[in-house]
Amino acid sequence: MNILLSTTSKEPLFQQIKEQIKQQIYTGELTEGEALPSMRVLAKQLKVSVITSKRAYEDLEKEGFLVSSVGKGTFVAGQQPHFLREWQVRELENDFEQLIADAKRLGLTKRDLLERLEIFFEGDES
Amino acid sequence: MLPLVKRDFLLSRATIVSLTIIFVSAYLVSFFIDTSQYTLFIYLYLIPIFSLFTLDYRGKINCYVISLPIKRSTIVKARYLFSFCYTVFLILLLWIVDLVVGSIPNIQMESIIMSNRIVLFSVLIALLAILLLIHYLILYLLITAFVSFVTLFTLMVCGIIATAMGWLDWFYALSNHLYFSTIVLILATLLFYLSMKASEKLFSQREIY
Amino acid sequence: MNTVELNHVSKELKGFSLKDLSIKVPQGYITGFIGPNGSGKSTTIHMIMDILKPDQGEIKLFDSPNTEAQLKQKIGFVYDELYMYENFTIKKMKAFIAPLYDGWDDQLFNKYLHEFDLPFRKKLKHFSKGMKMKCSLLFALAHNPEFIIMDEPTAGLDPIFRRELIDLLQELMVDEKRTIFFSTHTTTDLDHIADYIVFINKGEIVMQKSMADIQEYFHIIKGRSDMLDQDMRSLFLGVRETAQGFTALLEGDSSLFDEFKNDVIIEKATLEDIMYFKTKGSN
Repeated sequence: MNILLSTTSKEPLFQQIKEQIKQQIYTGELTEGEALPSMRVLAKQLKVSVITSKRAYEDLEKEGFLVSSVGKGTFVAGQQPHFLREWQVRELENDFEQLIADAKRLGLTKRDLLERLEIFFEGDES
Repeated sequence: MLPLVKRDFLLSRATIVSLTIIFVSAYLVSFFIDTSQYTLFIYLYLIPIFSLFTLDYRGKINCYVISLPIKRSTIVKARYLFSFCYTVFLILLLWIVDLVVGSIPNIQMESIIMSNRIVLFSVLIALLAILLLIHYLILYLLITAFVSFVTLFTLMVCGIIATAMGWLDWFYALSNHLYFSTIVLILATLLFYLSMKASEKLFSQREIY
Repeated sequence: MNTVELNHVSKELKGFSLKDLSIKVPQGYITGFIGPNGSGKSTTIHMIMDILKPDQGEIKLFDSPNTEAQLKQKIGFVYDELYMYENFTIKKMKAFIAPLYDGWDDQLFNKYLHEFDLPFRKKLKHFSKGMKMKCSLLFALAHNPEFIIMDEPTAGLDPIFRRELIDLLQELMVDEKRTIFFSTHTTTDLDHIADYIVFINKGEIVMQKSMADIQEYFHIIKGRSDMLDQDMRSLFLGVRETAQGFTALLEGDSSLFDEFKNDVIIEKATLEDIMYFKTKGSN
């Protein structure tokens, strides 16, 4: 599991850890049932305080991404399909943003863009 | 408690060895001159014990020792036990010296009998009881040293005057009797014990700077 | 559970006093004790260790009164100086100290002795300040203590060992029963590893919070001086103004400043920022 933290970012460290673990679950790098290091070991490895890793794990557990059992450790939970889909849709929307920005730069209007989108969409179906 | 006593030995080993040499020679000299040389002997005898306290103050050792898993009363007990053992050691050493010197022919020596030794030991123990209590009562190096010195000096002067005036003749006469010296020993030991208890009490409530 | 608890502790010393201190050091975490020089950190630590006695209030270690000597079996301590006979060597120190601890671990001792690169037979008086600190640490850790209390352990250390020490502390924290409480006036030591912060100033506790809360709620706001009106000023815990603009410490929701997004810079506050502004207030 790779986690890269920025200590200068305004985003709190526990938030960064959370987001990156989530990301790895979405992309399939972490799969259901996979064991994660204990929060104390993670804290040591990332050189963050125990409370930071604890908070990240607890939040992820609450949100259903991780399950932990006393004495056994923390594992990746089985993911709900709609979570995955939601995330993939969000990724697509990010691509849209990029697309629109590029279109604007080239001077295409909303109508131009929609027209092209329709052509591509239909061409694909036929 | 034993590690603490061992520490005291470790600390004062060098001092004890060098000073033992001085004692023995001073003691020997005292035979040929005058018994008031005991004064010198007693001063020298006290040096190692005081140097222990000086080292303690210099290094703020008690801060460290109190932070270790040792009761405060044990810290005091260990110091008393060390002082006691040291006194016994010295008396035994002097006895051996007497035996050795006595065995050399042609040397005239004042005869020292067992009960004199016991009285000497008792006097040393009683002195220690007073001085150690002063130490734990004050716990500031300079003030302790000053008060101890004044006390010691006063006692010596009183002793010398009393001897000169003949007020202590009865004591010297009686000190040749074993039953008397035994009583003195018991009293001195009791004083030493009480002093230790009082010091333990004082030290357990004290703050260490 | 709390490893250390101070309840309403007061202490009067020459020209200086600690007023109504209540501190909790939770088990299993690193608590940083910060404050400017002379704010009462050492005195507090000496009181916890029963070297000094409080005038009022109570101090508990592992839920027992701190005067019980046996509690110290579970404590490793490092003071601002090594209070030891300068003629002693580590060898002699070990002969004296090792038998006192039930949990003394020779293997651990040798491991740290080697790691810290300390001479076994050299007199302490020939040690540098950093070596003395390492020596304190060696004896503080060799009996596997549950609770480690340290007074300015990083003072006098070179940056490399300082970092190694921080790493070492984190390694120790993998054991979930372990608690660390340490004072420092160099707050960067704590930025990454502390779980809780206790901040003392002029003998009083100014702040006691988890590091997560601090990172979430304390921000530094920087902006142009003309933006700074009385309303805005009242939001801040402290403001520092220069000809180039203002820098201020905000406790609370930084989204208040989202509408000025283009005119101000919002940053996470470091412990040093918090200490600076809380000590100085506004100028």
